[in-house]
Amino acid sequence: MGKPLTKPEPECWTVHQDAGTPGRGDALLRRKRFEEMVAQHLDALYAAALRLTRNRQDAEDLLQETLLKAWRSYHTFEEGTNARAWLFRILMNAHIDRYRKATREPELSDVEDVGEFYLYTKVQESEQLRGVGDPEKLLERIMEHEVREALESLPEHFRRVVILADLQGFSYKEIADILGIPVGTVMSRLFRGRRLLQRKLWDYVRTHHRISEGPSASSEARVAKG
Amino acid sequence: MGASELDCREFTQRLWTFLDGELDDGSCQELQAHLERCPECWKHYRFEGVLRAFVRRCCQEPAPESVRRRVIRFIVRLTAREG
Repeated sequence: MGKPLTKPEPECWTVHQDAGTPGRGDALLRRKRFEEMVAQHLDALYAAALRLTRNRQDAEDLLQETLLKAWRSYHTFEEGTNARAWLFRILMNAHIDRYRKATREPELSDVEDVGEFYLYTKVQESEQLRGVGDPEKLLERIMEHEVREALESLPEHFRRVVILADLQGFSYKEIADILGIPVGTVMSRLFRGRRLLQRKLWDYVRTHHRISEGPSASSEARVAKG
Repeated sequence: MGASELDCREFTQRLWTFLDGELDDGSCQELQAHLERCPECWKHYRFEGVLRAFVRRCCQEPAPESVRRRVIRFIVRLTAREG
């Protein structure tokens, strides 16, 4: 894993000195630019932190650490380059550091591969749901919190990639740079993560809304209650 | 059927990459051509797009005002140490 950021000094509040100390006006401008950049991307960073850490207190801690590290390495940021990707790389590195300290990552090979799983196919195969009309109608049966739970249930490595691609809209290349992994790995994790996510959503639909599985399901099965 | 025409299985295999905007032009044209003549894959394509937007909408949460205020205070303190 690439770790492009240099480790900060342990004293949390010491602020680095720039190689060429800027004049007072420059420093003020720099602060202003940094504040604007953070304000612009705050919602995206917060939402990602929340989905990564799965609780509000940890999300705030992660956000704070990200901002501290971002300010410290702000002198390495080139104006005009992708600020959002730069901030997300710092966020992800901070998260990965914390995550490593807190847990031992299970081997990815231990994670079940669900193969070719498409929620759409399941919907089409279900006689009960075919009667509902457009397959998109199914989504009305899934609650917001169920979607969040489904995402948060994904194994860590898959969740990171799905958050970056499907919630934040980063390209494969940008995700590869943010996480320091090859593009091929981004793709395989993203696709496996999406399949697991879709299967989880299907599980919610089936269990909470009493939809029976597959073409062999009895047509006499009770139609889901609203 | 032309040699370059996709079947539904090939279409489905490339569908997510297509939606991600990561396919090359040639491949995009093949998928678009398939979409135009296959109503079933069109439905699947539309479903994946709607699902993706739905997941994104459910998982976005703007930072609460309290968090935003704390962040601003934090940054002001942080950056004030310099200059």
